[in-house]
Amino acid sequence: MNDLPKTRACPRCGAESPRAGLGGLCPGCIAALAFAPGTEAAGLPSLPGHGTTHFDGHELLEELGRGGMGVVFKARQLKLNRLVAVKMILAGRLAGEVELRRFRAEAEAAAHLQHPNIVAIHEIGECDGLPYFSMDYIEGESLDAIVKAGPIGSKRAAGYVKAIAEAVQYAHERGVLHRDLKPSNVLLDKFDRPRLTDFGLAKRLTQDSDLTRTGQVLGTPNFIPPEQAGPSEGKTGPQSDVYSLGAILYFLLTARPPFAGKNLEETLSRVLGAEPVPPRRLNGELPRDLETICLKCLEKDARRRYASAQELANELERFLAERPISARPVSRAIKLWHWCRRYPVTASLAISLLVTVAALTVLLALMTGSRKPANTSSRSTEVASRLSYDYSGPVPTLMALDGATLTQTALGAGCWPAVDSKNGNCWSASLFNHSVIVRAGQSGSVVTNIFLGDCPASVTLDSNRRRVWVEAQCGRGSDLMWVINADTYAIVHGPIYCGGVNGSPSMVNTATGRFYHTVSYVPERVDPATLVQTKTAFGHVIGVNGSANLLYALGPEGSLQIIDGAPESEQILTNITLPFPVSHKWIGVNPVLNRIYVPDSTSNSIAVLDAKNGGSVGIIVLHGVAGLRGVEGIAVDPSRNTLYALEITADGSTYLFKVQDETQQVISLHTKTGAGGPVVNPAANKVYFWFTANPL
Amino acid sequence: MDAQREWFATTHWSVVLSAGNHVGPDAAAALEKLCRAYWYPLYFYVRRQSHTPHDAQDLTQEFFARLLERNFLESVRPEKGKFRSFLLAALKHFLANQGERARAAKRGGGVALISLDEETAENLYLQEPAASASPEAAFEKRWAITLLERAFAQVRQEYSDGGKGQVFEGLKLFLEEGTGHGEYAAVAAGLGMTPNAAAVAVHRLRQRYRELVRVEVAHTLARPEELEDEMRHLFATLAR
Repeated sequence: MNDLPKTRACPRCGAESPRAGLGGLCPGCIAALAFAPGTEAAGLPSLPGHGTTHFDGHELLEELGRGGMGVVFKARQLKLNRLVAVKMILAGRLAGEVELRRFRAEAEAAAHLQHPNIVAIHEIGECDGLPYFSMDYIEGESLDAIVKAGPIGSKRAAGYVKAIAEAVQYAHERGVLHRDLKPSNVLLDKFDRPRLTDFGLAKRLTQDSDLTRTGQVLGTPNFIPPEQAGPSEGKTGPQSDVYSLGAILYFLLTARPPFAGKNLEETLSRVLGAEPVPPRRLNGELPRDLETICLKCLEKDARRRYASAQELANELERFLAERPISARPVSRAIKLWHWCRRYPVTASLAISLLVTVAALTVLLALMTGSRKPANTSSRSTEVASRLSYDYSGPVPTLMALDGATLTQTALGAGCWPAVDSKNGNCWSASLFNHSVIVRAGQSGSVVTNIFLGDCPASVTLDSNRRRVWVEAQCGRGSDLMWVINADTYAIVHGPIYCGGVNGSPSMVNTATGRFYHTVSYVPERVDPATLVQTKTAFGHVIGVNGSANLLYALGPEGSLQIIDGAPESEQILTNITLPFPVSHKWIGVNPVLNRIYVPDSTSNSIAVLDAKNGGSVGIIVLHGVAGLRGVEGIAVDPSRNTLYALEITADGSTYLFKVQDETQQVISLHTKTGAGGPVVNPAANKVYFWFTANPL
Repeated sequence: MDAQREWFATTHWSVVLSAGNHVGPDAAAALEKLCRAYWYPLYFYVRRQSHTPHDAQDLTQEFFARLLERNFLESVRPEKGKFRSFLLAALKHFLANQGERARAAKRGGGVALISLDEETAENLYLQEPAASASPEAAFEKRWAITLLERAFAQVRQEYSDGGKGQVFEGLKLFLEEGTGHGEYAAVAAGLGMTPNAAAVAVHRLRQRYRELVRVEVAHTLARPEELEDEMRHLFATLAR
């Protein structure tokens, strides 16, 4: 390995040849021999040349680009001394029969099309068994390239798409579906006229080699209609091309495709299931009519798109002439209806939630005798309008109970909240909005909405270090973690893949900053500085006592472990066996009184223990309501020496118990479907809980 | 089961895949062989992801450790088509998981599977032409070259073992495309052969080299029907 030759140019092909354990030979020059199934090389000319630069009466000048199947060269046709583009099959003579047939079909389909907006084919030929065709050489950029600097003007975009739509209509009338319309297949000639190319390149997403190749091939699915995106290809027709024309329009207007995922699978799943973000949200200057036209093309159901490319062209013509267009924007109600048809089960849950939210809002207004807060209504509407997005689980609603008046208020979407003890802000996760919502503790009004893209499931806050830990589901087999700055709301770290979070609450030790969560049933700690996740020597953490630097965890066989939280130690100090098995639900910690409260999830009692040594102090028995199933959740307000416990009865009624010294108050929560919580906000004297349309 | 299919059941990758969720000693050995063979494209990919040489070495090393220690195969199940695709997918998954974590936890504690000499790895890397291709494309290209190199090393070894090392060194040039009959005379003279004998020897060398490349490729596959497709893919990778 010491006598490695330096990089050099291959004397044969001129290509810069990497060092290789090839005795100084050039990999490019060996490839044909090595990988050829037969005795001869593929014969594909390539530049800078592995040999040939002349090809059947053409001088190949430079490579213009490659697609999934073909390679295109800029060439001079020697006989006529003109520039042309020569396209040949990428695998050269190694191409299989199917590829060859498809290649020829493309050439023949395009050869019959003579249209000012379609790149014309000059000749179809074969040289040494290598099929090729030549076409107009367009010296200009593709639509893909012009949008790199940002969205283009609406009229300009409409003009381009109208011209391409007419060309597509012309092709359709001759029985040719393009099926791979995308910005990079539209070139602008020197007269700024869009010219369509790459005809007949059918979808080949099922080919593994294409899937694993990067970049160019992955670009395509962003523009294909759902009927081409499914595992089994649906029926494609002229309206499939109409969809792609709409996707190109969307791209020109917003500088991003209607659907994009981190990988092919995610993109396809969005093409199939998600609604596009309305372009006006991305580009506020966009005329509403153009948005309407664009979204009509992108309808999932082909029947709801324009019936033909010509209809689209006519509509764009009306837009350009500033006449009324024929399409109407789709109302939220209709969007919701379409969504329901696609996801019948989820939709029924969501609708029942909407009914619940509406009923609750009315109920609250009646109960409190006050005017319905304006923001409640707008949030409910927001929920409704967002229903067409791709999260398809139940939608949790966050509620706040005032600790003094005991009135309940619906705050809007959110669950698993965390409270910032420095300013009283309430942070909650909103799977449905793909965001973390921060609300002011006192007013409940939204301070900010931090969009994460995936589906946040829980929030944990370290007020001392101003760090907010967020865990999210992303539907890609692993959950994600973020760290957000509690003051600036900036994402500091993430997304970090962290395995499957088990849906039980995570904890942060405010003494050390260490974050504890259980991933795929393995309790782990996350180091705040390095973010390294390490399996802990103790169980799932169900409580933290930052003042005493102690952790409480689920021990073996339902016992409770008390752990020294010091980073260098993390030793289990004691293992306590209670009269009931400790559940995974979190415990209440009152560092001021040096008490911990351990709920029994199968009865209405709570064990009170010494926070440091776990010694038994007493028991609280919740009473006043018949049919209690067990304590669902517990929270402590140390500043008011108050304990809150949430209980659900067998018939689904939910109660919150407020316990102060010897007194207990019972509050009936306005949900018949169970609830999650409670979480206390001492600064604002609020208690949060949340519920979904279906029982938790 | 025909002979080809039977043979394929014994490729390294087949053995790994057939182990299912629990990688036993055979499968672990087969996986290790594959890892040893293809560590460099991975190092290359990691380096292209802007990691420092030291980090890239650690990450590559740890990746291999994880691959064998944990049932990584299980977690990347859908990608288990070809070893090449699997390995890249697994590496990406690993790097994504790794995120900004420090590597300290594993460093030193894990078993160093591959004697990944940092200097050598980095020397190799530095001698690569600076290319603008994506890390994935670079990985694939590097992968194809690694296959060529392995087959090249084998054929060279075979010639050397048969006492024909000099013949190999003289004729290896003819593995390159476009080296024609006209050049036989000069080489033949140097080797004390007639031009005809040299032509026959070149033919044999080429044939053997192709065979060894196919075997090498096959070891990264589990099914015979994937072979031609993979050969085409590798060719296209280098023709880019």
